[in-house]
Amino acid sequence: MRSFVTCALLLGLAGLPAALQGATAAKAEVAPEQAKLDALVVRFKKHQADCLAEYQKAQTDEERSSALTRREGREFLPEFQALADEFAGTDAAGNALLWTLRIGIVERAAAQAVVARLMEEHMESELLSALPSELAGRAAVIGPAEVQKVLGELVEFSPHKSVQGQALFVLGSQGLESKDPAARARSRAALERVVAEFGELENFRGKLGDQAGGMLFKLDKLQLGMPAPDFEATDENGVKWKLSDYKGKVVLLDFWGYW
Amino acid sequence: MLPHEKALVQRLKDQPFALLGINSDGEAEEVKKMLAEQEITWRQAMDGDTSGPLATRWNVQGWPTIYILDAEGKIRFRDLRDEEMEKAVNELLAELAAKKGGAR
Repeated sequence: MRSFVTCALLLGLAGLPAALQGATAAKAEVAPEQAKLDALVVRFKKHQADCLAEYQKAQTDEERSSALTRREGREFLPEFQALADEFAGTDAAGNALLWTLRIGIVERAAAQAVVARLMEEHMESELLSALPSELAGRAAVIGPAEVQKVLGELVEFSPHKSVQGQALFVLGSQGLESKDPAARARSRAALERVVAEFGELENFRGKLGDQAGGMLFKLDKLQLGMPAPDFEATDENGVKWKLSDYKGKVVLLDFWGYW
Repeated sequence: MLPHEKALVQRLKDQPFALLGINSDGEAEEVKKMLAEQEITWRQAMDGDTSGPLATRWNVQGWPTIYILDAEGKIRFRDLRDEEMEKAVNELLAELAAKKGGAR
C-alpha cells in the first residue's frame, strides 16, 4: 500500500527537487510545509486532468470553452497564497509563490508583489531557476521593463549557475527583435554567454545552449539574401538527402507538422 | 496549407521546383503512415518532435515556418502563406527562366 501511495504522489510532482524522487524518497523526512504543498499540487493537477477529460468529452463549443476556463484552476490561488504566507521564507513557500505566477495572477501590482517577495526572500535558493521562464510567460502582466530588471538582478545576485543561466537565456531571447541596436547587442551578448557558459542547462525544449545557438544562427545565417546553410537529413524511408542536392531548383522549405 | 501545397506540387511538377518538408510529427514509422494517408509525395526530413535538431538549429518557434530559396540557394522569402507563397515561387521560377534564356 505504501509504495502505491508513493508512486501516485511522485507521478504528480514533476516540480519536486530530483533528490526527493529517488528510491529513498519514502524514507526521507519531508518538511510539513513541503508535504502540504505537495498535497495541494496533487489536487491542483488532478483538477486540471479532470477538466482536460471533460474538454475531450465535450459536445458543444460552450462546454469546451467552459472546461478550458475551469482548467486554469484560479480558485486554487488563495490556497497557494495562504501557504506562502504561513511558511514564509521556506522553499515550499517560494515554490507556492511560483505556482501563483504559473496559475496566472492578472493584476500587475499583485504579480509584481509576488516577484518582489521571491527576490527578497529566496535569492539564495536555487528554486529561482524556475522564475525566468515564468517571467517570460507573464511579461505582459508584470511589465516588460520590470521583467528585464528582475532578470538582470537574477544574473547578478543569484549564487546559482542554474538561476543565472536561465535568466540570461530569457534576457537574450527577448531583445533579439528589438528596434534598438543597443538592446539587440545586449541580447546577442547574453545568448553568446549562454552558449559559452550555460549550454548544458535545460528547459522544457531541451538544452539552453542548442536553443541560444539556434537564435544566433538565425540572426547570422538565415536572413533574406543569405545563402541557405546546407544540412543533411533522413526521409521517412531512411534515405539520406542534403539541401544542396536541390541547387538549381527553386526550393520551398516547409517546417511543418500534421499533429 | 496542405491543399495549397499539393496543388502547387502538381502544377509545377515539370518545373525546376522542389517542396521539401521538415517534419516534426515524431516517429518515422508513424509519419510514414500519415504521409501515405494524406497522399503527401514530396521529400521529407524526419526531424523528430518540435525540439528536433533542424527545428532547433533554425530556431523554428512556430509551425509551419516557410523559407523560399532561389535556384542558387539564397534565402529570398520567409514566412509566407498560401497565395503569397505561391506568388513568390512563381516569381523565382520566372527569374530563373529569364536567366537561362539570357544565357543562351
